[in-house]
Amino acid sequence: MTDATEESSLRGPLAVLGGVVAVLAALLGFVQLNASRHSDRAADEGTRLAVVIFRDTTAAGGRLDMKSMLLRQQAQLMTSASGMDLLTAGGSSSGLAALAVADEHAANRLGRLWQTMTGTPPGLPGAQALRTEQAALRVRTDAMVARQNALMDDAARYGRKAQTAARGLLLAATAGAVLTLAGAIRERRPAKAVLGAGVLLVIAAALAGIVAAFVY
Amino acid sequence: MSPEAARSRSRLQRWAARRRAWSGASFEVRVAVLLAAAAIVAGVIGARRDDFAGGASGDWSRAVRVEVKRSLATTSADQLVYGTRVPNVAQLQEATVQAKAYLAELGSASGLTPAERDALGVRARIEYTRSIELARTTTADAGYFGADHYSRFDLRRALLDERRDSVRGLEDPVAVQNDGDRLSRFSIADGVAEILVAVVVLLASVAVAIGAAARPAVLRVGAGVLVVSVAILIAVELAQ
Repeated sequence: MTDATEESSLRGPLAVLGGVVAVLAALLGFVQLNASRHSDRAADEGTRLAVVIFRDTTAAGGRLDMKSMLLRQQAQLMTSASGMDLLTAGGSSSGLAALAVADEHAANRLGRLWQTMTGTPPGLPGAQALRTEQAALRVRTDAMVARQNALMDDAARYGRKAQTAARGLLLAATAGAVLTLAGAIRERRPAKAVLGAGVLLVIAAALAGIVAAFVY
Repeated sequence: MSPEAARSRSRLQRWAARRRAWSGASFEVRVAVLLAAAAIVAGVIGARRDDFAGGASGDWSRAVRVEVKRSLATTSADQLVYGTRVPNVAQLQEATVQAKAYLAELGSASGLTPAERDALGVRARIEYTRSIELARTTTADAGYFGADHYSRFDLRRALLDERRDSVRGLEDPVAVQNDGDRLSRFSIADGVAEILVAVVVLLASVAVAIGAAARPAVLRVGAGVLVVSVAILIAVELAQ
């Protein structure tokens, strides 16, 4: 067999394999692009959500502090008025009895005013409402934290996908180089051996692509 | 024949000659032209794809920075309202309500002792003075009270206004993130177009490997796929 015939016998498979490598590289590039964008987006959204969690928790903490401050203040006024009322039940020369009555009215009025302002009723119902609000805040925060953790997990998972696809791209590039070498070798047997190595590299690149796209 | 008609005819003849020359071009030349065109298209698509992907990534990062700025601003606003304004308002309301209660008690109750009258009068005066002082510190909140200038403080509106003022001039992080999503979709479309260009390369390779009879058809399919990928590229550019 002449050199020309040997070359032409490998020309067809080499050409097709070159095309296959091109398509494989494009597919791997696509998988890598897609995985990278998912990873970037999940990481950035996760970071954004972490900021939102702290902002919401701080805001809710301030709101609860304010409500409990008003509740305490109202309860303090009411307790003081009731105490004075009890102390001066038998009559008082210092005028405290009249003050106690006025203070009680004021405490009741303030309770209503602050309920309108904050939505929290005075006294024990208010304390109960605050406990409920705090529990709801915890549930909401837990849900946000779970979502944030899931996003960070997603970022890591897609990062691994992108990494595997990049390895596949490296294998495809090597396969391309090996196939070019096979085309350049003029003797049939070594050329076929190099072609076989190129095919193995193509298969490895395809496997990396499958793992990147479907396994992680 | 006019000179313009002659020029036009000459152009047509040149075009027809080029077309004949192209029809007669060898198979290798056609494959080379197709591959060269595919390479140019792949280069352009790849560059635009990277532009879009980079832009998307940049927008997502910017959304985080904007969120940090907005969160800092709204947290400060919340702290100002909950930690400073509401306590001031509450003190004003407490002083006013107590003063009013002492005066009401002084005016309504009949059997008060002189000591009780004195005590009520003194406390009413003290609380009114305190109320006037506190009203001065809460003049900025005057618009949020009811008609009596001390009750029905609209906390929700005050908080919303403070938050709105604090984030004035800052972008909406969700909108910024959505911009990134949009660019990311464009990069994916370009990625698909790039796969089609690779298919063109594969078809050209197959054309080299198969028999002469089927080659023109395979090359035509390759050219068609290349046209589709260019169409996707143009559509993406027009859509952005």
